[in-house]
Amino acid sequence: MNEQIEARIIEFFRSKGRAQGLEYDTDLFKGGFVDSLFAFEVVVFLEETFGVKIENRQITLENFRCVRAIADTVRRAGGV
Amino acid sequence: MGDPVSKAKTVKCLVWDLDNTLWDGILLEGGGVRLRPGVVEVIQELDRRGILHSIASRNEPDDALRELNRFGVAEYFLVPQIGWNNKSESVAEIARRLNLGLDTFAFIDDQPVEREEVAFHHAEVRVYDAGDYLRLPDLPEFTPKFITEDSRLRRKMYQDDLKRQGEEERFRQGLANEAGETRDSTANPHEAFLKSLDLRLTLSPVREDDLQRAEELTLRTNQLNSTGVTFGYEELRRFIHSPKHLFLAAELEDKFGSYGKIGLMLAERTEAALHIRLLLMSCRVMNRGIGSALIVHLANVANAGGLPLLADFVPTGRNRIMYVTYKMMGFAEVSSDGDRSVLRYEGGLREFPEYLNVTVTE
Repeated sequence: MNEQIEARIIEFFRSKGRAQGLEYDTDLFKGGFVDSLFAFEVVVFLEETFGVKIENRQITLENFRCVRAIADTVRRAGGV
Repeated sequence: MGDPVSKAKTVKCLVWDLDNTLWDGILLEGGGVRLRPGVVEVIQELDRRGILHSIASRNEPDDALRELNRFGVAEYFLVPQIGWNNKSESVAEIARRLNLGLDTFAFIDDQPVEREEVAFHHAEVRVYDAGDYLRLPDLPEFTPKFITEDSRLRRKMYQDDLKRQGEEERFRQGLANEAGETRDSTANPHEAFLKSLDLRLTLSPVREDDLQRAEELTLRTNQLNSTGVTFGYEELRRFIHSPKHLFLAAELEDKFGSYGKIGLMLAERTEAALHIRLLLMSCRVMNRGIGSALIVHLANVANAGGLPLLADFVPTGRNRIMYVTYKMMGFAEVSSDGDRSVLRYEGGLREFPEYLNVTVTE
């Protein structure tokens, strides 16, 4: 499976100093990797980087639970 | 009233040129410069009204700063841009550093070409000829509706913020802070930074004394307003006395000083729910988890009363961040009617963020 989107997301977390110990399946909320403001930055990053529109109904805790869930959300929104 | 100019946004930051604008003479040509008559009074008056000052000047930075210190006015200017950049770039840099929109900026310069260069790149910046400096305080755009305790302290608050930014930058780069506190290796740098700030949040009922600041907050805040609604003074006053409403102000302090009153929330107790009608906070505290803390408090109040917690959201084109905040705090959208959505909190009891010391007063 192509994990390019996952890798780009990790890269984004790294650029924000939030990638320490971060794996594709790490729970982002339990690990303190994401707060709501940062979640907003992630949404903006996804839309700009992958050229997708993240709809309101896609903005859920489950879709942002871990890097892989975020990447799946991007794929469902049509990002490649 | 009814004058369209008075409805325009109040200027939040005035950017000054130096040579033949702030002072008479051209510093690099030698021969000395002196402040223009009455300019200090203009600066002090606008400062008192909560309008910030900065500088965009083409000069040798050291020489210009020395003169500003000699005149005793250096303290009034935040993040002065003195060097050889285009002034449009300098103005944009000031806006970035202060986290303010360019549509709240004004620029004053004696050179038409400089004014045009700024206006060309930033049509939303209001530009003034240096010859007009004495009449600035009389203009509606330099006349905020209210002058509150927070307006008078605004410059100090921004100066404190700049110190915080410096500290945050050190954390981001993974450097130990000055106090020599050890970093928690599991926390991300942002959280470590927040912990180091010693943040104290106080939530208390809005009082009569707070109303001017409350109205000012609703007028100044766009991005972080959950419904885009702005209430007038009298409406806000009604909520204080309404037994059906919970109307709270949030005040934040840290080791650098007070941020002042930076947030408001208005919730209505209906028979079926505690319903958030307005949640807003100053963009100066973006990144501090204040929105989450306010929501945690309301969730716990609703829970104690055995009521569900609902929240209105109305998109304004700039407040999507509030929608994301609600969703990430565990709200789900339960209905949507045109632009207005209603969200319901589905999480359980919550604790305040660890780095935030919260006091709730009656």
